Amino acid sequence: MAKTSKALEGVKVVVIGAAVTAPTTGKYLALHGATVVRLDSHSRMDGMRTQRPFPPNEAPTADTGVWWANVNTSTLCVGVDWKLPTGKKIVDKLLRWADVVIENFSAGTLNALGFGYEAVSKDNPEVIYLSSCLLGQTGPLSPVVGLGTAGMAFGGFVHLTGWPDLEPTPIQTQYTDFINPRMGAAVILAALDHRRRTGKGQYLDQAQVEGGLQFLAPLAMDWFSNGRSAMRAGNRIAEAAPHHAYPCKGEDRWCFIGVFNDNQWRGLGLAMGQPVWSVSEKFGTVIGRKENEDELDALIGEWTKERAAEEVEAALQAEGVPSSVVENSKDTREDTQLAHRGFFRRIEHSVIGEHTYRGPCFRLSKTPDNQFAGPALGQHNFEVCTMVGMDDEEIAEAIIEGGLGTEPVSVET
Amino acid sequence: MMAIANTLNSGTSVGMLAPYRALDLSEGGCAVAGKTLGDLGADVIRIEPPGGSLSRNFAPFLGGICHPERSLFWMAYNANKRGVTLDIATKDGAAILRKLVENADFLIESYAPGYLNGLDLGYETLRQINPKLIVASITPYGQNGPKSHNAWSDLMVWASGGPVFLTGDQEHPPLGVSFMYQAALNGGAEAAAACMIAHHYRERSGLGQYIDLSMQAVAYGVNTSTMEFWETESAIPQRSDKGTAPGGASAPPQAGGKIFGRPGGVRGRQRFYAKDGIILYSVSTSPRGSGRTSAPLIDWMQEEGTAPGWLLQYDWDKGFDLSEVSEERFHEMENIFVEFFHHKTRAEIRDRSMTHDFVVGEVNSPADIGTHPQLNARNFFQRMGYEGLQSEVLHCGPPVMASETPLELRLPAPRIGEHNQEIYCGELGFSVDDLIALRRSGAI
Repeated sequence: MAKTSKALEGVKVVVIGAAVTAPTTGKYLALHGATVVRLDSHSRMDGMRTQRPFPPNEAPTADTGVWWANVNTSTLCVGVDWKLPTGKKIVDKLLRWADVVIENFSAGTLNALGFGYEAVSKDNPEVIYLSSCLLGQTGPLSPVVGLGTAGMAFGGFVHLTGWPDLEPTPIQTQYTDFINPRMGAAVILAALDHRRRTGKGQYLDQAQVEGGLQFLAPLAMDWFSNGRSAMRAGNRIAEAAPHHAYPCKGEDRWCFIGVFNDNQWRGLGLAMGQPVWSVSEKFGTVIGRKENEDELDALIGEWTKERAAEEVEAALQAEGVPSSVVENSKDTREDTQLAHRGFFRRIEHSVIGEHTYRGPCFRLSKTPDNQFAGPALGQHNFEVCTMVGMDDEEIAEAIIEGGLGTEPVSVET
Repeated sequence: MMAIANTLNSGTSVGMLAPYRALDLSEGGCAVAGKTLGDLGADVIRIEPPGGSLSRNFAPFLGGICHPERSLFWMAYNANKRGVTLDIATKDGAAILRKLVENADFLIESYAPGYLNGLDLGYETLRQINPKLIVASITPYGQNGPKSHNAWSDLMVWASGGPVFLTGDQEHPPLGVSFMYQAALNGGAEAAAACMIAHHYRERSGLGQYIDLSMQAVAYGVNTSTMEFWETESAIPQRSDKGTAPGGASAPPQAGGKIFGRPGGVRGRQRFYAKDGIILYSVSTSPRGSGRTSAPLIDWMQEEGTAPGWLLQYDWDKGFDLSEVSEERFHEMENIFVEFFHHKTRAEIRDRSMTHDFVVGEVNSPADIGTHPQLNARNFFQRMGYEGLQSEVLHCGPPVMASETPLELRLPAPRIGEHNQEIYCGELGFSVDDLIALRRSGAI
């Protein structure tokens, strides 16, 4: 075997879905060499394709949305109208071809269309089939739909974010949509390993709220064991003071600082030039700092607001004090550490040309990753249809009948 | 579907990863990596320093009693593991770790970069012992680079990856989730996926490899299109502009003064008060003719006779551009929704959403979660007995249910050194006298 072969070479995956969760799970596999077919539809395309932003010189179309291209990195896109017989035939062939199927429709949707696990596993008994939806495939509320914003609300993250005397705050991302693919990818690959040893396929039911709860599990246990229902507390935590985002020079600039022990406290004092209050008795102990945290926050804020966030971080890091600029979209793009890791990559896209993409969050020492831009709608129609055994005539028929396409039926720009 | 549903997590078969062993030397939230492999059936050995892991100091505690055997944090992320104590910085301890590596498939660690190399226990050393070994290092910023040795705790890493800047509102400082282990937890879950990717290659090639994971990159991974806005429009997406005071509105994420997503399709507050709690909902009109609109709610209002005539003048079914509605009129429109939701319970709203195609998010507290009808119907919470503790502990179930080889809670989180004898004597062949010497010397 060539040393450069990719980790998941030969694994065949079909992603049927929209938005973030299923495609991102597929992307984890695609980035490491799996052949991932992203099933999209020209008759009812993934709405995220039309989501901003678009490159400044490009008209907003199904193929110019850079967010979609990023989420669907390294996949092959086929545009199918499965309501037509020629389209349905392609989907059936793909589902028979697949080692892994990943879908994130609302519970039961694909069963009704004949693409559910029971139907697929009749022809393809070894398939590993992951369904991902908000609340799972079973249970009285399984039909409740929602993306990651609903997921983080259902799952406790919204309640637990914000200021104790104010309303809860949604994190401005679809948080659970990004948590679940990490676990989904791990479980799918474990199931594939089990299949390799036993020949058995299986069905995987991912409730995104349950996946999200892995990250708050001790607080659910706190409720059961102690009857305590945890509350949001701003940036305060029991084990550190100061622990906050402090205002810095400029508009909406902040540095996050945390002090967990006396050494770090001394370091903070040194970095600030040892103002009188920093050596006062009152703040000399962890307990003292916790008791006087409001005052402490105000005093530190007075010092930080005269300085650039980068300057504060540098001064504190020099003294070993946990700190970081609260990085925005510009800061992260220019972050020296992410740059050092080659996290952002400039890659050619078939329609919009070169653009920036996120690479994997981890590096593997032996196997290279496999990154190419997220595909245009139906960009790989021919390639995919050929891959699943269709000949030119069948492909032509599917195109003529409308089962296969590249142009959205209703283009709204 | 019922046939499948009935088999989900009801079996007693061995787990997917039953043939494999992982050594887990990670701390805090990173331990979710080994927990996930344990959920999947792997034999995970948690290696903690003599006296116990630092993670045993993490709150909350069973009965509110701060004790290393009562940390619910420890229990949550170290169930499905066996546990041994080992000081790998001692000569005996390092020798024992090397011995364990001979029969291990994975080693997961979260020490500072270079720490294991300094003890001659780095990947290069370990792979000489076992070329099939996969080593995953979970660190805040990665093994090398300008920030790799930065002082940190979870929120600094979370801030360096972008999510903090976008959490909260512009009248207040940015903030984190009040369970401040999110960077480490995301890092741990990602490490489990990375381990399985490397495992797949090992099964083909016979070779392990080294995984260098950055929690900062993982934190960055939860951001929606922030980088894309910067790259295309030089825009910095910001926290919402409205306060979080009770009753205050909260606009969806802003980018360069414009609304994310479909222009003109969503506007106004996101939080509404139902009779018995808060829900998230967005008034939406889908001017591009795709996606959900608020039409199902307008229909519901109409059924109940609470929709004023002017509201029905808008074409909710086909969609319209909400950004063209005047500020005053929009405010009136929003107030109709405020009033409407205020007279319904969250369950009423949720039940209607199941049949009428609209999306609401219940803002659940841990108490709401613990009593949630859906989670309980799925038996998500599972009881685990702990030796030496009087009460059983309710755990969260696994992240995914599986039909053939269910992910199960098999083992309670280990007590300090619980499996020392079992593993050191039973598997590595040490005598009880050896164990006594190793204990006395501080190696275990």
